[in-house]
Amino acid sequence: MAGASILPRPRQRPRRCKHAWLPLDLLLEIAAQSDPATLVRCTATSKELHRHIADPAFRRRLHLRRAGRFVPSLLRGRLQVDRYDGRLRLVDNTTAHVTRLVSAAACFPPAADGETAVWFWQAAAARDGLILISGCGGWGTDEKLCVYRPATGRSQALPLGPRLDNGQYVLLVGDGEEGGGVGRPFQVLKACFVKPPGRWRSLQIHAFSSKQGTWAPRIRSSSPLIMYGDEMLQRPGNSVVVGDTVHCLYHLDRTYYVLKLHVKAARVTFTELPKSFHRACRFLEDRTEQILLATSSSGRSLIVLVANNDMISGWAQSERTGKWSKRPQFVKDCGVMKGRPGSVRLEWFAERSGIVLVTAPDSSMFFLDLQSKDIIKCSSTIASRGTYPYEEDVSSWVPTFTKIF
Amino acid sequence: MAAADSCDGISTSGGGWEKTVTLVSSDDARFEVREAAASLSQTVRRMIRAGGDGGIPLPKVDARTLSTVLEYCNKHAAVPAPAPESSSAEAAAVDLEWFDKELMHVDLATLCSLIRAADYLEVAGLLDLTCKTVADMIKSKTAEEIRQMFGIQNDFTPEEEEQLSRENAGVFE
Repeated sequence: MAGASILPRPRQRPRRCKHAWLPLDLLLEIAAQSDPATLVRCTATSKELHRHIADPAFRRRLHLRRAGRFVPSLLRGRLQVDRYDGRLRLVDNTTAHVTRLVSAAACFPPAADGETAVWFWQAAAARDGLILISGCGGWGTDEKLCVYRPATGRSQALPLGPRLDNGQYVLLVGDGEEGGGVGRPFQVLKACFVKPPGRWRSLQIHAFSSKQGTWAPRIRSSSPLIMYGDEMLQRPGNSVVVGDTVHCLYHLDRTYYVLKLHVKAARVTFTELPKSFHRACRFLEDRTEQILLATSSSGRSLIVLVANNDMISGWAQSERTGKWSKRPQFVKDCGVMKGRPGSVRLEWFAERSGIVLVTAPDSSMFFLDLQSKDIIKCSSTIASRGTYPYEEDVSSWVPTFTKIF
Repeated sequence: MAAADSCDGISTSGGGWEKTVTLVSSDDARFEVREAAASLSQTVRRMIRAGGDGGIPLPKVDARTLSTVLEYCNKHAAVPAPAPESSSAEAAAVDLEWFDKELMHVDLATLCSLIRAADYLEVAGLLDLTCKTVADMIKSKTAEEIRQMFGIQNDFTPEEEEQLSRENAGVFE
């Protein structure tokens, strides 16, 4: 990516890897630009490279770099709960290989009397190598939550959250490592629209922080767009994080908005999508599955994708002015995917890898790479509904090296 | 802008008057280049500010590499900054992307020289581009192939290598 800023590195006498043609710092610069699998192979080339790549300073360099562009190989697969053995499983994107991850009993241990804690459970959100799992013991029982990290196999049960119905969850993952729990700092946001009898509706957001270990009310909004509406978030699973702001699509009175949760500033704002977007959405068969929020490859600005028959179009928000407009470079003809009449559907967007899962009318699945605009056939025939993308946090590769030397 | 004695002259380029500077490579080749382009290199920018006579010496970069670096700088400094939504901005971005791709159609030895030069001259965009290109070249290469590409000596014992491949099974296949 030309013109992108590199990380500042201290100017000092260049360290040289034994007999290498490039100084060590530059070899590390190249390694930091590679994908996770190549990075692991780089660590196996020499002890010096191994030591430096395992160093926390390199991890910071790597983490910051990832923020600037998509890394398709971070997408490891799709998460699903197996309907037969009840285990959470990861379906590989290209080989359709299934990895069994964890059982409900491991995440939600049975009660002292041996009674099963949850009967129904599912992935409720996933981000940066962590998965939020929600489980329910039966009709009328409290919803139980747990955060699970496949890279280490560790899980952390969350205390009971606010008793509000129809909660929609967002998982936020912080930087660095954290002692205890799953080893990474995280927050879980629960967003609920609340309408007490005879009063106006409000949006209430409660947050669980792994640092504090408790739930706390964070945001309460009574914006007119919420008070007068009766709509939920357009697609709860389709939340996109840019900086410390969570974005979701919100629909009210035939108008689409991007709802922004400013987590630190504890406020909610709305941005109306442009007229050209609304014209394009006028005749969609199923708006929920044909509109998807995503980000540009820099990860700093939003785009909204619209699938109409075999065309996917994109509207983007300018980083500088915040103005929304249609972008011709996001238009993609998916004619090759169409086997039957009907429109392609947009299932989910994986924000680190820049991959969108697209389903054709004949239920075959494809990946749209937002960086290269390539369409890749997904080998699996396993249904995509209700799945979440599982993206690995690249730094989770690195700590496993340190125990070797 | 501070007084710059190393600014050799004034030339007409694109209808306007522009300052130029002379850069001298390790093998004494002289390159006259627009100051705006040369200033993409933070090293050269500091030298221009410091002033001096008879051109700016760059003892760590040979003429062949420097000409490629300057080709990059000339192209990237020439791009105006129109509004990001305009179609001309898109066309300029596509043109620049195509130019960068063409510039990177060189062998590994040349790329390594360019990486060293971009690092010494502190041309951030070029360092990023060249490292990314080489990172793409080592994709799907084995550890041994990566060692050969960069002349890295293997100092792992066979037991350590065995342990590494066990730890990261799947990645080494």
